[in-house]
Amino acid sequence: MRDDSLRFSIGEEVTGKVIDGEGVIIDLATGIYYSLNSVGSRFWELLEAGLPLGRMAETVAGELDVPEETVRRDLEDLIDTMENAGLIEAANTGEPGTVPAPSTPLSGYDPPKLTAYHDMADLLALDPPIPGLMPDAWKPGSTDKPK
Amino acid sequence: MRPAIRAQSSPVIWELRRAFAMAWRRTPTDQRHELTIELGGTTARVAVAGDRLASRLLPALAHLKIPDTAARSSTAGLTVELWDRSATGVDPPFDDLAEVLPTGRSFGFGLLGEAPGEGLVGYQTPAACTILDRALPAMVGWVSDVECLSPFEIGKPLQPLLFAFFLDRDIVPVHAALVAREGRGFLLGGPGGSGKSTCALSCLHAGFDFLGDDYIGLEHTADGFFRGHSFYSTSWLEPGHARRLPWLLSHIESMGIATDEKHLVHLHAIAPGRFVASAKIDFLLLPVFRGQEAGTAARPVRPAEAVLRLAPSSILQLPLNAPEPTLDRLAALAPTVPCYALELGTDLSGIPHCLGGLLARHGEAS
Repeated sequence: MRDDSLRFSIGEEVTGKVIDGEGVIIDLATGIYYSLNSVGSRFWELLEAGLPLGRMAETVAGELDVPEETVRRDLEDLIDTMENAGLIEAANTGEPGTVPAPSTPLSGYDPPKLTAYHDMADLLALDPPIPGLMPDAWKPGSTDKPK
Repeated sequence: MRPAIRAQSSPVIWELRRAFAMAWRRTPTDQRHELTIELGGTTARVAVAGDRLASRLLPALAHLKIPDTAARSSTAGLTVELWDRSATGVDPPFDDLAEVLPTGRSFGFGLLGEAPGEGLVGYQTPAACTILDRALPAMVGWVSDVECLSPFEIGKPLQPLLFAFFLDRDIVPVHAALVAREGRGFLLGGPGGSGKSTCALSCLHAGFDFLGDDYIGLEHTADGFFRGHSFYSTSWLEPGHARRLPWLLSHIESMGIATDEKHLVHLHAIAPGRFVASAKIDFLLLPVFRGQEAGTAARPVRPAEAVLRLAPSSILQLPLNAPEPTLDRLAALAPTVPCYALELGTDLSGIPHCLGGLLARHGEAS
């Protein structure tokens, strides 16, 4: 079990947004993008606000009237998944934030779920000439013409 | 954010404009081409020195042409000056973009250079080099060899610098198609192969207005609505794709520019009356091929699902787009309009019918 005071920061190459209670996260470095269900999105909002781990679990348990142990276990699983994916990292810098109001009221508790989509490179490849994805860019002075 | 207005050109732009002026003077009058177009609500004056260069670059932008009477009375918010180096014999003040701008990122077949402090961004490919002075704003460049222009440069001229110009006006380029009927726009999102082009072209054939089938400028207007702006009137078609659109086949053969895998088609020449520069966005649609015989069906989807289909390619494919503002813009749009998955059947004529049904179902503009 991790320390209650542990906080996290979102990766520099990661951008995310909660839309009507669902999260959309994009990892610019890998091209992998993710969706988060409603409880996962609430955790994302709390994580963005700089809340420590213990406070995040306590907040969601209180908002949804769920045993804190259950929430804490699920939250740690989510944190592990997001850390392994490179979306967040432990970073106890700055002052802990305050609890933001949920952008969308939660209707019930489902364990937080992060779904990864790996198809972007393939999908982008269908739209030529694939700007930004050329493996070897032309260099000035080169006599090679674009293929 | 739009850079602060400077009173004078940067030295780089000044040198380039001086070279362009020389090329313009050396070009016979009947080979000088000027086009005044509407770009994201801004008037842009495009001047091209050289017949062959104009014939390659201007058709993709011709649908945005402002009538001559209006053009004469409007003030240009952007000037674009391009010359054909081989036709005019005018050498540029530098050969490599790296001599004047720090370069690094690749984009398509070329390199991007940026000097944010000076408000300059440039793009160089084997055939061409162009720099945008974001403060003036003015875009100036040359093409070394018109025959070396890639299909990308012909079909999507001035990209990515044109997108930088839009971003400076808080209009975010997104990877989407847009068609409209009676002033009500359908933004069609999704990655390549999802059916954006098929939908947009089927609707064009059915009499809808056409604004683009791959890139659209997305503006959040002061009245709280969203407006889509057209960039290009071109489309890429795979051979298999084209077979499903038989009305386009003869045009592809006569005017398409072929690559190994796709054909570039100038749609404005085919249906010149069906292009508009911008349209209010009233629906967000996510095409997906199902192949069912029952035809095309629209299924409501959640706003987040729509953003999940739209945002990744808009952010990952367009290197000048800042990720957060792009995601924010799409996230702001999706909850304000009806969002549907458009499940495409084998009968493409069902697509415009389906969109017509959505217009009827949602009554007046949402």
